[in-house]
Amino acid sequence: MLDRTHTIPKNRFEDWHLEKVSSLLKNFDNEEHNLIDVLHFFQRTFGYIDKEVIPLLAKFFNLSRAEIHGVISFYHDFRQSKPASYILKICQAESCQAMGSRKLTTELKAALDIDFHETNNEADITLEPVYCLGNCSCSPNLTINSQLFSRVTSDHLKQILEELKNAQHD
Amino acid sequence: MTKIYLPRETTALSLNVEEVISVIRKEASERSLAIEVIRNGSRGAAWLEPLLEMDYEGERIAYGPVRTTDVKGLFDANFLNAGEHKLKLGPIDEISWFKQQQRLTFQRSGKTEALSLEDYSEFDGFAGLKNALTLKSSDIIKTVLNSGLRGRGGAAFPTGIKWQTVADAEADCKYIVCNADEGDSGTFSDRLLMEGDPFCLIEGMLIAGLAVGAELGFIYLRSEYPLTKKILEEAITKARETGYLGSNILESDFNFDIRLHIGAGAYICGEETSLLESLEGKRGQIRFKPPLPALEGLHGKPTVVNNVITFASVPIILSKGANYYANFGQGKSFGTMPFQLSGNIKQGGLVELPFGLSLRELIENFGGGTHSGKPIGAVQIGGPLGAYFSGEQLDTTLDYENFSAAGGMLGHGGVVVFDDSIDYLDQASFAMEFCAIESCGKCTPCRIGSVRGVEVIDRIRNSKDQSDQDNQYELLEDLCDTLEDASLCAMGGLTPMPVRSAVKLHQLSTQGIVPETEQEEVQSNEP
Repeated sequence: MLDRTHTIPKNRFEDWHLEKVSSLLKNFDNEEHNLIDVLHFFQRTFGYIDKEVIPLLAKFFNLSRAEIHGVISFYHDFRQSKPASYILKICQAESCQAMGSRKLTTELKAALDIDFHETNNEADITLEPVYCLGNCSCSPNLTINSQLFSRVTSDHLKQILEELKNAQHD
Repeated sequence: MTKIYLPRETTALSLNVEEVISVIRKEASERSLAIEVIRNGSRGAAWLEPLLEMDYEGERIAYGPVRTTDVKGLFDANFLNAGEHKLKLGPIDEISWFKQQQRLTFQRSGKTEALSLEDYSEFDGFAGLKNALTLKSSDIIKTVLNSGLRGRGGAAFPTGIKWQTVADAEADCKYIVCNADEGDSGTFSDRLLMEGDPFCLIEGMLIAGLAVGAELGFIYLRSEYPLTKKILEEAITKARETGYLGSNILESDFNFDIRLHIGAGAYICGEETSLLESLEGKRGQIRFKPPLPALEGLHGKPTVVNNVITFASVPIILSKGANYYANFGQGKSFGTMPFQLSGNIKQGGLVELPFGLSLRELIENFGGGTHSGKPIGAVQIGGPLGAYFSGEQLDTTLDYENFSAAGGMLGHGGVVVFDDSIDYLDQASFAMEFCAIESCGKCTPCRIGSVRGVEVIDRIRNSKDQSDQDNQYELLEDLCDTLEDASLCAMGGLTPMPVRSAVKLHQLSTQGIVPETEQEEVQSNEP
C-alpha cells in the first residue's frame, strides 16, 4: 500500500481565449530571453500552447513565426493540445529501467490502452514519458500532475489508477 | 519543547514526509506534548527517508524510515526522549554510513535548517565569501586553481583556468551561469545541494562573480525539480533581504544578483552552449566552439558556466584554503566527489568521499549490494553517456584518469546498478534511442545516426546467421566512429560509450569472447 491518505489534485486549466492570452501577455517584458517563461506561464494557465498564439508572440517579441514555433516544438515540456485532468509521466531512464520501469510502462500502456503522448478520455489521463526525475535512488518513479511517486510497483500502479477512476465519479 | 528534524526534500516528499509531519503534529497535540518541527535538507541516505532526527541532550538521534503508520508507535515508545523503537538508528554521527564519509561540499546538508541564514552562518557559511572580499581577484582565482577543483558537471575542466579566462577577457559586462540542468539518470547531487544548502550555491556564485568581475548570475534549473525551484526562490529572496545579494554586499563595493531560470525538459540544455541559447530564449541548439563561452557566452559576453557542485565546492576552498581541499583525493583528482548510488541498489543515496576508493567499496560498503539480492549484472557510471562496467570491473578506483583509462568516465558521479536480469542489448539500444530523442538536431550523426543505431541493434538481435550478425556489428562500429568523430558536443560524441560497452558485455555473455578490434577501440576511447 502507498503510505498516503490525500487525493491526487486534478489539473484545472482555463479555456483558451486569444483575447485573454493577449491581455496576459501585457504583464511580460518583451525581451527575447523571456519567451520560455511566457510559454511556461501559458501552459500553466491553459494546459497547452495553442498554435493561435504564434503570430501574437512573434509580434510581441519581434521574432519570426518560425522562430516561435521552433522554440515551442524544441522543448519536451510544451504541449500543443489540451491534456487530460491527470498528466501521468513515467520515467524511462536507466535507473528506473534497472528497477523494472519497462515492465511497469507496458502494464500502464495496456491498462490505459494508449501509447505515450496520447490521452485516455474515459480515464481522463494523458500519458507522457520523462527522462529522469532526479529521485533515482528510489526508482522507479512517476509523477501525476505535480505529485511524485517513488518505488512504484505494479500493485501501486493498480491502486493509483483505481483511485483516479473513482475520482471521476466524484 | 523538543526539536524534531524532517527533510524538506524531493525524495522525502515522494515518501510522504508531509503526511508524516501532519500525523506527528496531531499526535503530539493530542498528547499535549510540545514539539518544534525543523525542515532540514536530506543527509543523502535515501534508503532511510523519511529520516527523522530529534535533539536529545545536545545530540541528534535518528529514526527511520518513518511511515505515517509508525508515528503512534514512536510516541508510545517515547521517542521524544530518545526512547527505544525498532526504527531507532541511534546518534546520527555514529551511523557508519555517515561516519565513513568525508563531507566537504555537503558539510551542512541535513544538519542545518536549509533556509536559515543563522544556521548557515553558524556552520562556516559565508566564511569563504568574507575571506574572498579581502583578497585580490587574482588571488581568489589562484586559490581555486591551487585547490585542484575540476568541473563537477562531467567534463572535469579545471575551474581556476576557466575563471582566469573570464577574468582576463575585456568586456563591459560578464556573467556567471550555474548549470542546474541535472538531466543524467542516476544523478541528484545538484538537487540535494540546492534543496539542502541553497545558500552554499549562492555563496559559490558570489565568489565567482567577485573573482571574474561579474555582477549578474543565472541559475538554469530543470523543470523536473519543482520543490528545488521553491526552495531556491525563497533562498534568493532571503539573501536579497539580508544584503547577501544586491548592492554593496557586506558593505563592500561588490554588487551581485542572481536570477532563476526554469528549463523546459530538454536534456541537451545541460550542454553549456545549448544552455546559453536556452537562457537567451531560443531553441537549445548547441553552438560551435570556439569561441568558448568563457570569452563569448551569454549574450556574447564572457561567461563562467559551472555546475552546481562546482560552485558549491568553492566556499569551503576559500574558507579553509586550497591545500585543505587539495589534500583529499588521488592523482590529478583533488578533493571530494558526491557519488550517487541508484538503480537496483539496497542502500541508495548520496555519498561524499575523496576520489580514490574503488567502485566495489562504494557499491558494497555503502550501497549494500543489489536491491533484488541478485548478483550485479552491470553498473553504468557517469549518466546516460557513461560506460557500462561488468561485475568483474568493479575494482577500478574512482578518479577521473582511472575511469578514462578503463574506457569510461566519471561524469557527474552517478552510479546506476543493474542486477543480472539486465539485457545488455536493450541498454545499448536505449542509449541510441535516448540520443535520437534528445539530440538538438544540429549534427547529422547524432540526429540521424542514432536512429540508424537503434535499427542496427534491432537487426543484431534478430539476425539468425552468424555472418549477417558480424556485418551488423561492423556497421554499428562504423556508426559509433562517425558519431564520435563528427558530432560537435558530447551528446553524439559520447553516446558510443554506453553503446560499445553494453554491446561488449552482450558479446561476452553470449559468446564468451571479445573481438580484438573491440578491445582496442575501448581503450583508445577517451572522452
